[in-house]
Amino acid sequence: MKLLVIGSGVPKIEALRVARGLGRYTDIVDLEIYAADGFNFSLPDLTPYSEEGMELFLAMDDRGINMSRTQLFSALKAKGTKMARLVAADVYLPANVTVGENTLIAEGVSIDHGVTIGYNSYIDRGVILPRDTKIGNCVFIGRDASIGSQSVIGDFSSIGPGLELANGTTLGKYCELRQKRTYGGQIPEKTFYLDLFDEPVRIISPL
Amino acid sequence: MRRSSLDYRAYKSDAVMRREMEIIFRNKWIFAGLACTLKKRNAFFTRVIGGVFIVVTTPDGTTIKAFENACAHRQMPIQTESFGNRGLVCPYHAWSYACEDGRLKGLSNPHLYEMRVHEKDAIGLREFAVQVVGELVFVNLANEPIPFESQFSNEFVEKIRDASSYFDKTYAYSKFRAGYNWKLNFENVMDYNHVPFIHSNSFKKLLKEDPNAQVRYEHPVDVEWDKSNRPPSDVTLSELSFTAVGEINLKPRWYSDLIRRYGTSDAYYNWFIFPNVNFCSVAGEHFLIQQYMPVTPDILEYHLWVMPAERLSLRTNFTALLRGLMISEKQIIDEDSVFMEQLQASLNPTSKKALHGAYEHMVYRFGDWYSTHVLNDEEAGQ
Repeated sequence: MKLLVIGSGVPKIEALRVARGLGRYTDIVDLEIYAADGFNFSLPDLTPYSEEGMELFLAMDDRGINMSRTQLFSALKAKGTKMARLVAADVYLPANVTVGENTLIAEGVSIDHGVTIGYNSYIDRGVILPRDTKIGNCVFIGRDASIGSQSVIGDFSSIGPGLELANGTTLGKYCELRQKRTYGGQIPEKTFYLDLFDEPVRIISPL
Repeated sequence: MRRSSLDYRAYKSDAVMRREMEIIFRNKWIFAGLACTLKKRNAFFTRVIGGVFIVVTTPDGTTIKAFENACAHRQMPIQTESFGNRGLVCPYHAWSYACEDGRLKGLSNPHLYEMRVHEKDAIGLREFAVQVVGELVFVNLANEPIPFESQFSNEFVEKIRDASSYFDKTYAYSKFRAGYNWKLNFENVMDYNHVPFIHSNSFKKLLKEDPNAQVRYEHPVDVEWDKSNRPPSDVTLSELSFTAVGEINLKPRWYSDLIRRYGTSDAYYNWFIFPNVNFCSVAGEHFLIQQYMPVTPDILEYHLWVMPAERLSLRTNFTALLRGLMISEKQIIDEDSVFMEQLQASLNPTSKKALHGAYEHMVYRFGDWYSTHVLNDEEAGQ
């Protein structure tokens, strides 16, 4: 089976590596895409690469924060493109676990029963996802992060490497956790814990 | 060249800070937040101004009210979050207050208090005066506030009203502390000549290379340096809030066509709002509001609001943009903070007063006003 990996940066390198380790693809094509401003990517003409039964994986940087990744994913789905799920060969998926399209789960990720992972997400190496954890769409979880059981991670959210979330944490949509600390409770949507700021940056819409 | 009216005490003395809290922060109109936050009943934001905890809220999504954020019972803050949508109910013992006028509405377990009707009728939250200019909400904590127009000229008010009408209604906000006196920051933002030296790898890149490009002040009074031999006591409060426009050279950005631009793309707009706000816009494409609240003479709390100009389509998602703008603005502020903290640490009783040149005429005037109204006090001299 042929796999076309399109995208840029480290996520593409990781996707290619995981895909090659699976052994199920006979042909893996690496296609770099660019954006002059770093934001507005556009899809290249995929016709020369297309063939019956081909799968495609979109791997781009900036995870859920950058809307380009989501927009390109939507555009590919609209074209009827068959998107791959890349789950590293050493990752065990219990029967009642669901993984959405175009999601990458890297080596050493531990996934317990009842976990759901949405589409277009990226779970880096060594992440722990205990029982009944719910990971939304377009989520990034950095290397060796530990998510507490029954936690809920909102769509488009990003969790930095090595961070810990207590059991039952609810992280809203469009959140970003980067500060080295343990997180818990309910974190409102569009809250950014960044190293540059003492207190989280909040995006406020008319309440 | 002229010597500043401010000596080291203005930046280092606890007594002077107590005086400025009384004369400025609990007596003048202080920027408090954005009206677009308060579009639904019971929406609120909280601030600490002049050491007083306040809550700004709305009973109907239109009227804006400010109260002391302290329950009459035990002085517990009624709202404990920075933003939210919640009635005025104290979380400690559930005393509740009317959002319209702050009067005590009810309390749980009333039999425990044996409160008489006339006692209940006399209980309420202290209310403060509010003035809304476009999207900008000002609060005055004084019992008898000075007229708003005595602090800000009508011309200036119309300018900030117009500029704020271009705000997108979704904004980013955060706060952080820095180790220097708040006035150093206000002086620093008025001093555009530091940019090529402190911000050589960031902000300077926006500036035009043309040596003739300069900042244009739009000031209601004659501020010509050579004609400014007025006594310090002659400086009026309203002249300390003013507009300055600098020339910049900015390439179109990815969102330039997605917003309703304010002004022109080759301008950096500054509106200095007395006493502690720098409201500015880069190319009319995005706005930032920086406010420096004194915590101690050596520590300020920096509040930062950032928003793009109004998006043309409600479908445009500016989450990533707001995050990026906050980070880039904070990086520039950090570049300043390194120098400001060194300057603060170096001030001592033997320090000479700053020496100002013509381009610093507004820094000089600020010092004159401050000297006359805050330092000119026996207690401050002790």
